[in-house]
Amino acid sequence: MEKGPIRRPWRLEPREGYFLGLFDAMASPCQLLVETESHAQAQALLRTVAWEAWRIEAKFSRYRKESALARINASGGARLKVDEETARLLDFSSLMHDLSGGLFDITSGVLRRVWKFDGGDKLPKPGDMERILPLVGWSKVRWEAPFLVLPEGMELDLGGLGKEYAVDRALMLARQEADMAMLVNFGGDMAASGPRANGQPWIVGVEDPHGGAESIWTLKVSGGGLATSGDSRRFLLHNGKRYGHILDPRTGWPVEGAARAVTVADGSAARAGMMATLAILQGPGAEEFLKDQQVIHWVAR
Amino acid sequence: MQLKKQSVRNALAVGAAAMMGATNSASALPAWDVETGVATYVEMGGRITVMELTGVAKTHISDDKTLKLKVSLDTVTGASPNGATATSKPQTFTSPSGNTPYDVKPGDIPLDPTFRDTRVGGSATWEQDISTMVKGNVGINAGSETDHLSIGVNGGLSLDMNNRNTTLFAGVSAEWDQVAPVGGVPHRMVTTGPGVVKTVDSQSDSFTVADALVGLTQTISRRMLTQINYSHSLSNGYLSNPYKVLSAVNGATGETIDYVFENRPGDRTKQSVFWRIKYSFDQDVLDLSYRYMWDSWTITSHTAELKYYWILSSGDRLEPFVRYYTQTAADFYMPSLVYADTLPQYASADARLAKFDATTVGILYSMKMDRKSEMGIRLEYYAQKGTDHPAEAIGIQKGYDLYPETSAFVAQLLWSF
Repeated sequence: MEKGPIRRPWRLEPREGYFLGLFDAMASPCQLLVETESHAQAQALLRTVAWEAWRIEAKFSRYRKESALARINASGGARLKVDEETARLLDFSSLMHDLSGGLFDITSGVLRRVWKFDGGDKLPKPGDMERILPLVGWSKVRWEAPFLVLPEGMELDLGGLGKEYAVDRALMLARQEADMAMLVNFGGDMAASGPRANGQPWIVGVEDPHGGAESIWTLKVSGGGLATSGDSRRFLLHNGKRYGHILDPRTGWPVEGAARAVTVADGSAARAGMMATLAILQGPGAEEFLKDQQVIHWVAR
Repeated sequence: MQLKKQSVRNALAVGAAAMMGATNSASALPAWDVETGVATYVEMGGRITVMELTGVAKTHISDDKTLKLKVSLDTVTGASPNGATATSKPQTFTSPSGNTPYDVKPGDIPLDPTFRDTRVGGSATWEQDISTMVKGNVGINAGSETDHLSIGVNGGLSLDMNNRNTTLFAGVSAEWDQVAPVGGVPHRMVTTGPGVVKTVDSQSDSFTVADALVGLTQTISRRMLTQINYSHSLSNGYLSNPYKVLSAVNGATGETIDYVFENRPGDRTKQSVFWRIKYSFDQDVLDLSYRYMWDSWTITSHTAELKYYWILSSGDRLEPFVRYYTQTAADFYMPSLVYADTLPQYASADARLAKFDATTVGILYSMKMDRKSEMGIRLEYYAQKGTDHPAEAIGIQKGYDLYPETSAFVAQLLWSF
């Protein structure tokens, strides 16, 4: 039986010209900025946004035994019929797999068992990779919507797109409820309905995703999405060589020459996030790829 | 390599849009917001009990058009004061239908135990944006009881000004009421003789009510909002209560000699001013309001209410409130009248037209069930106090309680989805 999302605290604060809603979801601080005079309306929209975040987290969390994803991962190779929303996410993951030439792979999460990117110096032990690699590869999964066969021992992990999807869904639901200027920000991945009522962009402070420990980026967002891929703090050092946490699912080893972090602005949080992910998977070619794609971007090396 | 082409971005755009699911709301049926409630109102001392079911459904037909439907059903049972005063001898009354006599012991406030009714009501309101700054609404409402039928229409306009910091609003409504009392409309202000058997004037009568309201909502600061309004109401027609009598007492001893059915003036003009302030803390909201009402029957009333919306860390809501109400008496109110050859033209002993004050305290606890639905429970206590021993009490009346006090509990369960 699937359980619903866990209710958690939230806060709503009046600010100059808008309301700021705050809550936690997906291990990130989350925000809603909404331009309204009405506390009650801001409260209602915050409820919509927070509940959608919590719902998606509960449904697609790897950590919750009752989640829809956990049910798939525990299927033991049996043929499963998945719900319509899961099907849409799997279709999109499949598209990302194709567009990345197999580098984006939602079955690669099991590689975490042999890599610990905690700033330490441990490489996988000999033989580890040979044992784990047979459990990685989207092409081993049979996906014919709505039916899924996930071979025994393999696991799906939607962490690579869940947060961006949640941002876009939350904003979409909020916009269906009220037509006003809003910005949804889940831990630095964000999307805005458009500029503020006075035509000015939203100004958002986010922790510099590209490593400066104390620095805060001030972003001006007037519509669309903005997301970051990569995490400059997750790496390991072995014999003076830095191993980043972006793994090539074909070899199980880090992508050579990967940027530490890539930030992209595009039409939605999912589009921005996936462009950033595709770029980082290009290794040394990230900048060239982003230039070709003609998106606004920032790359940290 | 495939990734070098700009089409990756386009393919992602299409794929990401498909991942979001159907957003094509134009073809979808409008979704309804529904609020339902079941409530019980119980007066202490075995008096009136009301069971009520309510439902409100609201939908956006399109971005600028809203339809709201409301239905209610309630049943009323119990005993209600009939207007006569306590006296030293047993009293016998005839029920409004004329079929069931009931006796009242010496010293007791007479209550009519045959009171029961089922009421159904409904309304529909259409709200629409006329321009970006002007909204309009029109509505109809109807209600039916065993002895009462009413139909009303209403309409209003609101105008946003001053960067939406000011909203001006105005509304009008009209209502037609048909009253067909159980057992007929009694002949008023004529002694009935023992047993209180009425002389029937007609089977039914009617009245009309017209209301107008103008007001203004003003944002004072990001945290504070205020609203003021003025309303004017005219009622015309049969405004008496067909079930209420007055005791006609001996002017020296106070003993009840006879009874008359009450009579009220055929028109009433009511005016009121209302003022509200809402203050938002970081999450909680304080809501203070005050109303002053005055009418052509010389009733003036003050209502003050304090409400606090307390948002708990779980997102649930607690709403404690306290309301105080006080009014002066109508000029034709009297607990009883002196038996004489000439009776006054207008008189009523209805406790609701007397000088009294009332305090209500209550609390609502509202709990979110999921993104859209909410469950709530409301508890209220109401206490009404009047003058038990008024200066105009005569003789033996001084020893009796002349004002039927009311205290009541309200419990309500609410579910919105």
